[in-house]
Amino acid sequence: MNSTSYLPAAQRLNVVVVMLGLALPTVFAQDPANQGDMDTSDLLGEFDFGPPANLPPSEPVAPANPKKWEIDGFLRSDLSYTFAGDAPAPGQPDYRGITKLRNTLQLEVPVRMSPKWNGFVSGQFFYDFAYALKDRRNFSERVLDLYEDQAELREAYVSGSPWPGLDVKFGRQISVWGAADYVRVVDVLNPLDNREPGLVDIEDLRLPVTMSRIDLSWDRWTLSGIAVHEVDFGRQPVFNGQFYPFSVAPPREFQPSESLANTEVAVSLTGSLPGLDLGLYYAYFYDDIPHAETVGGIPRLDHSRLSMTGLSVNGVTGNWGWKAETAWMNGLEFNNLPSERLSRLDALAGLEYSGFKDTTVIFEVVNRHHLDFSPVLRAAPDFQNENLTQYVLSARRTFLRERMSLYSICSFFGAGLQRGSFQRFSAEYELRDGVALTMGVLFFHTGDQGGVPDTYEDNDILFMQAKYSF
Amino acid sequence: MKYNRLICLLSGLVFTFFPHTPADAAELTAREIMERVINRDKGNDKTSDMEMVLIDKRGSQRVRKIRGFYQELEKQRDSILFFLAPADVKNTAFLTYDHKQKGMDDEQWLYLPALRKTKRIAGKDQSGSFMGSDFNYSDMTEPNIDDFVYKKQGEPVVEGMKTWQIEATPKNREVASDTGYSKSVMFVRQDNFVPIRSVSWVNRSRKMKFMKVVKLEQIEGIWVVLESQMATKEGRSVVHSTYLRNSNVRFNQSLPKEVFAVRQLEKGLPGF
Repeated sequence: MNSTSYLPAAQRLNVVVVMLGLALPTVFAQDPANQGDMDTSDLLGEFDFGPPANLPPSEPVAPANPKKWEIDGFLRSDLSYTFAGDAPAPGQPDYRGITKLRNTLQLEVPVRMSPKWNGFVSGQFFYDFAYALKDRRNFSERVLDLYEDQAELREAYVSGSPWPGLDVKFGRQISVWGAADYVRVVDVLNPLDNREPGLVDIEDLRLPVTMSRIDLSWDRWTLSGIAVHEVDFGRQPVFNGQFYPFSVAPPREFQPSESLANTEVAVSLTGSLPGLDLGLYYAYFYDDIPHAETVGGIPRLDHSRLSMTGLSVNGVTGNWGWKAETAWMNGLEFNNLPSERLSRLDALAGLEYSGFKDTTVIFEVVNRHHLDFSPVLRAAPDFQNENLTQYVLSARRTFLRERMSLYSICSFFGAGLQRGSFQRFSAEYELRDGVALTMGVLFFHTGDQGGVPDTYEDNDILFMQAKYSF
Repeated sequence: MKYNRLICLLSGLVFTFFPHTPADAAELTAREIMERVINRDKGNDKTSDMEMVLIDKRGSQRVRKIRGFYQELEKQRDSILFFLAPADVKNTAFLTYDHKQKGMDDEQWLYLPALRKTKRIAGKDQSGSFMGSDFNYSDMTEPNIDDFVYKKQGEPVVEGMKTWQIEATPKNREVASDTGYSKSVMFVRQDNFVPIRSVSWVNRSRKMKFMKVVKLEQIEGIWVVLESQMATKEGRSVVHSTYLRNSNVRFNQSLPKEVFAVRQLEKGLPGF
């Protein structure tokens, strides 16, 4: 595949269709229409409507004496249908047809301990019937372990404000850094759930880890110090799984112990200033993406210890929002340069437009530039380029008084789009308060080596979701 | 859900006004009346709860609940809102600094609990529906009085109360586009400067919106609309309406300044 700029016809069509779908209602809405014309002296006669007969009785929005604790959460059913795959080789699992039939229950318990101290615990449980439907014997234990069922503690923390301007939070939690909506540059603290790239619900994407956090706030500034005690690299597709990109199993992954020496540390200074938000960040952490290395003649996957110094800035002007992030990463290790620790400069720019009625369009572009790049990094298993570029374009429009929304996100890899892409289009409809149905489709387009893997070409998926929030 | 332009929510929807006794009321121009409507006492700070019932033309209902905190400063009005229902938007929160200084843009941040992320948002366009209701974001804000031309059209009696009928016309297309209305007519009570009826012509549409106050009371000496209804009509038919109830309205509680900070969005509903 050459590296010149190209965009496959199917991709072009996808982008055009979704942008037209979102833009046309706006165009028509702005057609000069005959304004309602009425004699103002008769206006009072138009107030002929009254409160609906079945108006629900008024209930306190927030009771004067709130409960010490309550149970929130959601029940969610997901169905995925993979429609692009070829028949598998004999003895290999078949990922065509129904590939997910998962029921998920998340329970969340906020606890009000005192006016200044709160607690929060959440847990998630799911079971995926798709594997039983397809015959569990066709799947490896690792695949079943990761995808068939799960019972896990998610967030579990105590937070408090012992003094005005001072906040502390201990336990499993999520800390989000930066201004970008889709691409992570300075947001390095929590690992991600990448088991099903492009399909993971946004609320499940970041995985909580055990941290101690202290925030000192004054005027429009907050200084935060964070210690991450739990070493967790997130969840990646496993060998023989639908999204595993290679035909051979990976070497064993080295897991650092959770000791004081392996604690990740982070500091940030953020300001919400007139007209713009500003953030300065430093973190000393483990790279979630492993590199291959050989120790004592035995190959293994290991995670580099990185330092990141970053900056984010964003603001709004009229109906436009803008953002920029940059991060200097130091300590990257690669298999093909075993004795060196490299640096990388990441830079992101983004725009957001909300001037169309009920519509938001977001564009982000990031370039990750390897400093002291060596051509040997292009070879397997590193597959690195001197510059790694990614574009993301998303659009969301609501209809029917926010009862329905159309959403698209297209992500392209490579400066000339040569490293592949994925596009996701979905529609959500709110059946009633707290009950929503979602349908959508996810397309993958493979690219150069090191981009979207060839195996993903078989993973185009139709998906449906029903969710009840309580 | 589109949350931008959610400024001084209850000051717009609760319509808090001076308990006025206008001795020279009959002599007031339309603009002077609107100045008195806008420049009203709202207390130094305020807390209140809001419940919106959204009703479509088939009678199907959806309910939205919010708790809001507000403070009036010399140079800006601050508001922070916490969404409590429905469950899928619970813990979403919205902070606004509404700068009084001309030429200084308002500032707004939205906290999205699913992302654990606070986002500064743009909000020039106020013509969108607030939480799917019949109220626009522009209905929530205090209008810039210089953006409109006001005309007094009469002094009709509405539900036994003498009112002024005031027509407000945007001075240019941009104002009409940003507010979502090409013209409005308000019926302002002469005894307390509370608009108790309003009609708005939806910009570039055949639809019109009709707002009426259902329940108006004085709380701590300040007039507060406790219940109101906004109906969107196309011709003679109501195509959608919103019934709005306010409760737990309290003024002048000396709210801590930390409540109106970006950090509070992530911390959630204050514990006091």
